[in-house]
Amino acid sequence: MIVAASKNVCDQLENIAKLEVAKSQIKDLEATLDALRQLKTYVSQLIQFYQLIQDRISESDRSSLEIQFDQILQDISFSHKSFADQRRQVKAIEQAKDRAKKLEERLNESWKRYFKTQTNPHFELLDLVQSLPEVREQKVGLNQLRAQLMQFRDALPRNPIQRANFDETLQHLANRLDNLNFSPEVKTFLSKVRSGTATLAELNNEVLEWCQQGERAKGFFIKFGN
Amino acid sequence: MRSTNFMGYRCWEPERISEVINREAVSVGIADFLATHTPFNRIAYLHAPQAISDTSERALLEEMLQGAAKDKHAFMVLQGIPGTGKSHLIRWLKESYEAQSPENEKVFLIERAQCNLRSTLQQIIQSGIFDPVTMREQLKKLEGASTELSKEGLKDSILNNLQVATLEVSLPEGEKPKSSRIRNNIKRFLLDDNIREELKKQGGPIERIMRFLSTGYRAGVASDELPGFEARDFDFDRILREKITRGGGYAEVKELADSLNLKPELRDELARYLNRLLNYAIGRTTLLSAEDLKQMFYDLRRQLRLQKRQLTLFIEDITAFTGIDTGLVDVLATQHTGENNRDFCRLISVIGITDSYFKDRFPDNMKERITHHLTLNNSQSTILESDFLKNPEATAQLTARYLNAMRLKQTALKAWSKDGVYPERLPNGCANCSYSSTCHPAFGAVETEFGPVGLYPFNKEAIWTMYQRLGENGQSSRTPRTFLNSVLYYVLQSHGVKIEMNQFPPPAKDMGSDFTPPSFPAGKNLHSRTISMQCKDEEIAKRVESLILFWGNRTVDTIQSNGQRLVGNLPEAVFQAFKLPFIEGEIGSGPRPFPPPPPPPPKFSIFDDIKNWENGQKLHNYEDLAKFLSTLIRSFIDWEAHSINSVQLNNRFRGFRSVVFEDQTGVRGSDYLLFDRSRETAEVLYALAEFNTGDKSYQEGVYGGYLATLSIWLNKHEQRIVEFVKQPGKDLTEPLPLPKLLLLDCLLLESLNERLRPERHSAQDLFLDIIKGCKSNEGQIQVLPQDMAHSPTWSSLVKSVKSGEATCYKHLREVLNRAQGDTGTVIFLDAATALDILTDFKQSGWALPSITEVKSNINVWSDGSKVYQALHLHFERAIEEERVRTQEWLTKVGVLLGGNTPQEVFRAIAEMLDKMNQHREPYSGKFDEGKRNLRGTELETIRRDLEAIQAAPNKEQLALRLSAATQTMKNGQVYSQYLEDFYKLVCDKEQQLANRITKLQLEANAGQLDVVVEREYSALEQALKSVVAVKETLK
Repeated sequence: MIVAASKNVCDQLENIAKLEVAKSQIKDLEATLDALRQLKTYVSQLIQFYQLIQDRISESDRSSLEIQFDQILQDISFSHKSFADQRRQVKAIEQAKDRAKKLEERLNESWKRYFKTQTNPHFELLDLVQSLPEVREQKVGLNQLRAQLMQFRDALPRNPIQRANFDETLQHLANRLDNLNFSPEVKTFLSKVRSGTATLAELNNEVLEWCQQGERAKGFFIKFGN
Repeated sequence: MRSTNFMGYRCWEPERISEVINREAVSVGIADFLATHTPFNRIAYLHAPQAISDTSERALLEEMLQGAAKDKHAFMVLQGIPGTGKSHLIRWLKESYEAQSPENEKVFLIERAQCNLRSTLQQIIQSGIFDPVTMREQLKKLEGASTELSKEGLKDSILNNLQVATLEVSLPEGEKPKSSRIRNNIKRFLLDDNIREELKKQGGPIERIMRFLSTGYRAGVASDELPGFEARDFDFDRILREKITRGGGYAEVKELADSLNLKPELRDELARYLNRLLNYAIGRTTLLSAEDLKQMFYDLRRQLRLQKRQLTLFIEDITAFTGIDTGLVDVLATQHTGENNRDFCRLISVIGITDSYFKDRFPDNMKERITHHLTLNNSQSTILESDFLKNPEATAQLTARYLNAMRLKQTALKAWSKDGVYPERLPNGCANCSYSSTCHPAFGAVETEFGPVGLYPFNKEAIWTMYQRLGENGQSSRTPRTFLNSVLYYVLQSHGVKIEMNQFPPPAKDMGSDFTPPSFPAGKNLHSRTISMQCKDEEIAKRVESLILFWGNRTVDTIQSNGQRLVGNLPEAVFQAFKLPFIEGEIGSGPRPFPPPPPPPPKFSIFDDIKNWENGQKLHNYEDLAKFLSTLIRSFIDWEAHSINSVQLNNRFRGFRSVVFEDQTGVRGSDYLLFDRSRETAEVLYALAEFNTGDKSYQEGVYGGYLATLSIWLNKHEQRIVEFVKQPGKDLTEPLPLPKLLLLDCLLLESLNERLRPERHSAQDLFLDIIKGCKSNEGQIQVLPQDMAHSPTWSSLVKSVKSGEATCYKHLREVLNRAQGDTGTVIFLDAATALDILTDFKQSGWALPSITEVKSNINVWSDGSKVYQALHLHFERAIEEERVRTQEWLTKVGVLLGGNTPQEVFRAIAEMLDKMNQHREPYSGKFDEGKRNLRGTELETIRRDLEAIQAAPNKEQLALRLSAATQTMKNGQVYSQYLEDFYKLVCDKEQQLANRITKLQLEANAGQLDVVVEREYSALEQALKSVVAVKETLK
């Protein structure tokens, strides 16, 4: 009677001690949970971004980003292990969050690199031809397309729709420029004209013929070189 | 001098107690107040405009007066826990300041006024401080507020205005509730019917605020209670929460109620938030805001300035202004200098503030504007305690002044008050008391400016002990107020009148309700029993114990000091004053006085007297002649031959009273041996007179003749004399031979005296034990408390035989004494007779023959038969009851052990106590006995011994085993009581701990946060792994 009851009391006391500890840890738990939820939301976004662009970026970029994801995973796993003994993990989670911020920067940089490789040839061609009389009418439309694309430079596509939007806009610009039908020789000539390095020697028959078509001849002037 | 009769004396009138000690300092008459005022000499300055070296109340008064003379503004805050004497000091300052301040000074005291705002406002209205002509508007506003407070429906108004306050009051960022639960839900919460009823219920926050605001609530608030919300007000019970859930109310209400249930800190936050809104709600309810009050007092200051007058305000308790208090504080802090304030009069103010008010309610921005911040708290103490009564001397000083005021008539104090209140002229109740020469040395006196004042009916130790034990139950603090109310007032009011009825002091447990009685210190625990043994009466013993515990040094150690004996450090006069026996204490009693010398022998003339008697006249010298004849009878009859022992003989022939002569002049008793007038008897008397008074030079023939006369006479009367001696008294017959009666008495008394052993059961052993018992002269049975060692019948039997016991022991040896030879000086015990009696008794199976009680005036017969009768009637039942008790004990202990061995049980007890210690779980120190002194092995032995009693084969063995087992049974009782108490402790603890666990589980497992966190970790890890795994795959 007494033996069983007193043993029960001992067990209850132990239980109370544990519960007291648990009670005292409520605030720590709340803080940890809060930090963890924030990080989870953040990391989920990053993963989503990454998954959207991983097949567009270079192998080295991809590798670098995944290493960083791995480091965040290591941080979180360590914090998870420590959580059993120490309920307040805000600091550790904050560290992981800092790492995630760096990862986000890398993601942006990778995307920018990809963006540049995709848009640069078109943008350069557009710069070359927009002074030509036959392009003048399309200039506004082409520049709008460029402006639309430029919006994607500073912000990663947030979802597949945005990414498809980017792809479509890029394709649209490329098609419009292709329709102008510039031969490679003409493109080279125009490029030199734009950079101020074109000489009379550049005016081969094909180029000369192209210059004299329509009203193009009025668009070119001859100057003495320095 | 009456000092020798200092006993049961009451030196005060009971009605003076409540006149002199009143809960509120301002409610006491001025004369009583000043007469009981004890100077405050250690006021702590938390902040002052300059260094303060003199911390007395006089210096503080001087500081105020000098400030007034120099036209200096002062805002003095007197802080202290409730009851430390703030009101008392403020009233003293007011009375003293008013008496000495300049004429143009308007001095005004705002009392706590039954602790409600309405009374406070009415007090201001009626004081005349606001001139009814020039300040009509202000008065009208105050009256309006006062009227609002008396209206019905005040509770709902306050709740409604609180709800309005949640919408309209813009609190500073730091004071807004942090919790969105409160911010989002409070509006609906205060509208919910269930919540409103809960807040309005008896004892709830709104009811408390109502009590504070309205005179309709007579009790007001307790002086240590701040009107407002407390966290506990939002600790809703399950029933209310279910009501809210099922009632179909707003989801916001349910959400907040559930959160309040789970988070204690949220309750605290909500209480703090609503308290911040309270001033607004009260102001809106009374139509008098803090700003209104501020403007009113500003107007008053302007008015006084125009009249070239100055203002000094004494406010007993700022809490009395709750709701509009911030406005008042603003007024008090505002100086009369500076560009904007030049039209104000100078203001000196002293306000009383409790610690909690200062901490929670006093505006932070005002704290730095206090010029003098004082406190009466004891900064050294770890508990809430006043610094005022810091030692026994200070406490005695305060007591002496109150006792003195109670001893005096109010008229005497009023006369003193009118005479200028000179401390040294205060009447002294002890000055003309003729008992003081006895009273003061015994109870102690305190030196005051007006002479020594006695502490009777207390002494310094009693006062200090009672004061120090205040708050031991955790319910009250130690302050002058609690001392006055719970010690002085309570003891004198409840028990003071008992002094004259010889019932003072009462038993220690009844002495006070707010302080606990002390106990005997370690090592002196048996002193309680010493008192019981040395006092004849149990009630008296309890009073003596109370005296020793409170007045004395909690021991009954006896010492000699300055030629007088002290028991428990108390002189005899203290005991006498309360008509209590001055017990011997712990050392033996002193020498007894010698008996008075016997009276001188009477003169007589004997021979003529005998002759005249023979001739028909009266016998005058009958006394001497009866002595002579008694001696003859005693000496010449062979009493042993008639089985008569010396005890019977001595009792029947004590002196001369048993021998009576026909027609003797003197009176005769009722039981005597009568000798008729006769020639033979006259001759015998001649012969005896001659032998005893003559020259003894007889001739041989004369001597022989006398002897022959005596011999013949004795032979003739021997049978009648023997029958007389054998009789226990007149017309009584011998119920049993006296030796048998006494021997059987002593045998059973030995059994009750716990000196027989089962292994010593032969007639010889029993006889030796009985004689040893007679010799040891310990014929006193200790009557133990019934619940300790014995059954009621046993205890009552012990009580009933106690008075006759000594007689039985004393006379048994005498009745068994036999003279060896003719010497009469060498005697031996007649063991043969005794052994025959004992053998017969054993053979009868310890069956006592029935007798009728002998109503004899001879002790040995009356006591012996009375004891025998009691034993005959009750002994058998007593031992049977003891057997039943042992069976009950065995059953009870068996149940408590519950199938475990005693060793296992005590091991479990020790483990549990260790565990409780380890977890700082409180329990009574008595349970540590289980670890220190109680042993499982001993309990096992006790159990075996008591089982042996159960197995006793006959009455003799039962009696002998019980006699030997008394100590075992006592020990058994200790063990069973301990186990029973411990089991109760365990059950109580189990229940308490289960409740705690339930509560903690709710608190600690709220939402199973740890599980949620674990889940979040896993989800995050999983998400990250999905990325990393791709990488691994690619590798």
